[in-house]
Amino acid sequence: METSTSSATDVNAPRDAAALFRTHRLPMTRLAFILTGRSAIADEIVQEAFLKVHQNWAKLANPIGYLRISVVNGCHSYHRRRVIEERHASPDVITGGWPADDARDEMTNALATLPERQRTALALRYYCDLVDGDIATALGARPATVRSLIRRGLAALRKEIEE
Amino acid sequence: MTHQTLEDRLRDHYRNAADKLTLRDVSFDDLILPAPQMAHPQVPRGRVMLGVAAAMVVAIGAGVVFVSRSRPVSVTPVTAVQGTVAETQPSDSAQPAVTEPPVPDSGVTVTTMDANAPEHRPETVPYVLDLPGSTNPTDGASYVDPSTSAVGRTFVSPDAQLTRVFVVLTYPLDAAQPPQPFTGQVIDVPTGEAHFSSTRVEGQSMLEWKLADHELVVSSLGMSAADTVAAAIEFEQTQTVTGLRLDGIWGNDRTETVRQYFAADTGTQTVVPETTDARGIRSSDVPSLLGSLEMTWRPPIQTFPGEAAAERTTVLGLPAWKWRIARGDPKAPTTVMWQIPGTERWMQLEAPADRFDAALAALRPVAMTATNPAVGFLSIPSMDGGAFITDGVAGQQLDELSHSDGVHDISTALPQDAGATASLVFVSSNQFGRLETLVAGTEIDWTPAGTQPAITFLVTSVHSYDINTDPLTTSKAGLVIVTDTENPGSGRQIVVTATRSDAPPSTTG
Repeated sequence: METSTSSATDVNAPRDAAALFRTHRLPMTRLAFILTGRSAIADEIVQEAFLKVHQNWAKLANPIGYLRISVVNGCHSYHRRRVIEERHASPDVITGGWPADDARDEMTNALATLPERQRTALALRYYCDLVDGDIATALGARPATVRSLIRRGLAALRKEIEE
Repeated sequence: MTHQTLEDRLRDHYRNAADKLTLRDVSFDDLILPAPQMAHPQVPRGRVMLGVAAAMVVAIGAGVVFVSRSRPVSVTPVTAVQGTVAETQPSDSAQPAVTEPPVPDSGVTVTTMDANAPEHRPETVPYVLDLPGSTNPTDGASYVDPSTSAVGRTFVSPDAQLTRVFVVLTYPLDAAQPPQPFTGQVIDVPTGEAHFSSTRVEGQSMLEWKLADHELVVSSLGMSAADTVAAAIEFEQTQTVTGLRLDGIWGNDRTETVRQYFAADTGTQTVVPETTDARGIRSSDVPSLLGSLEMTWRPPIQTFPGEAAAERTTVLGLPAWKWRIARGDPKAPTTVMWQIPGTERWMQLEAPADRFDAALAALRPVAMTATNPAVGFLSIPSMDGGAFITDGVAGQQLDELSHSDGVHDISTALPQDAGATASLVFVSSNQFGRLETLVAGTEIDWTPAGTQPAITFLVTSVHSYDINTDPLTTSKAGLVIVTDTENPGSGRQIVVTATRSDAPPSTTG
């Protein structure tokens, strides 16, 4: 789990991309894994994100924030591709992701019913413990939108679980 | 017994899920210094990859100039040599036109290179589609020389299918000593607008070319001061080349078949047939730097086996990909996807096959002005995870709308889309000045003015109409976006109106 706020100007901020990789690869991959359900995809997304951080290191005021945005965007891109693929694919073509419904736990099934952005917002809040502002930055949304996403996500989850 | 809150259950769920993750043992160096899977077996052993950079032409591009320059050397001048790699993905339904004479499959036309003269090698690189069932194209990447005073070459994708460029820089391990890190700051590129600079990062040189609206970045370790990047890359901007990004190469990016052109250490420059998909160029020049350019022609849409591949088309004058997943259904939707110029955003229009052409024809570049910006705004997610803020388009108070509103009545305003899955069309003039599309399944955040909370909508039904011909234009009501909400029972909709300009720009394509 990562801290809620971070900046390159922090005392404990990583001094280079390699240091950031050592300290944040695992939590970021876990976040991507939570958002995608696929470890290989998560690993790939995070590696791509780190490369972007590395390439832009000199220009980044907040490498961790940039990394997080890259990871979230990478997960979003993955889901977008899946939506397109699954829309056009026969069921036997669709593979991967979380296990089949009957093998998933109640919370996983309930989360699967939520729109992607709500799921992402919930993960950033309740896994990463980020504050509204950081989640908003990661999602490219406004804090008010984040609050709405989380509120609606929780409401939908509650309803789904109670049913 | 303690009763867990939903929030606590979520935290436990995430923690448990995260604990299931196992990571491969990958070091940071593995990431930034990948060993590309070289397909060329004759590469001199002992080469160590010096730097790797991958360039992704995110727009469907047309022209690339790859320019190689040698800089003054402190000890021994060395001639930089580029190698090239062309890599393809199938696009059998849209084979590009050939602008160069057909090239025999067995070879590449290359002129002998004088080691003391600027490299000058007109050549055409054939490439072969690699996937089973595909046919060999007659297309190739044409290499066009620059003026005689310059070195390098221009890569031309005749059909504007250039979608990705990799630049691979390698260094022979048997050199007397490792090269010094690049210390230069600026390399002038002949055309003038490009700027080259370097930034040291962890013993590496971060090299950048900056062109107007473009940015190229090459990361490399220990590049020589002499020929280091004795290559400058310049993109010849056309109407269809709008962006370029360089990324590193590793992992899966290298698993695809590549064709590589290597400079080797013996003999004059010759073409060495390798496998069916790889050829080598050998040269007597012993390069201190081996540059490889790898190009990928890849439809952004990978259709499934048995389905027709995405084919090239144009939308609003822009290169686009079009595909249809039939699955035996004559009414299956046709989809077209194109990239917004100057961005990494792809837009998509989907419509029933029998009305697809009409829907496509309805797209017009339209200049818009806001009718009531105080009402709120729509935040529409872009395809790359960002968001469009359609400042120029005013949203109406959601709950104030009704189906009986004559202006916004779907049945009259959107006749051609009634009862069918279709495309969502919106206008964001501030960013793009033209119509763009989204598809069902997209989430839209709607932020009302004032303190009301934002609402997220899931687009489940989309309708569009021709803003320029629809009767509504008489009232200057431009565009209508209609969606169902994530609460279908609420009956709420979003209707966005905008004022049509008196002189909308004309369609270019």
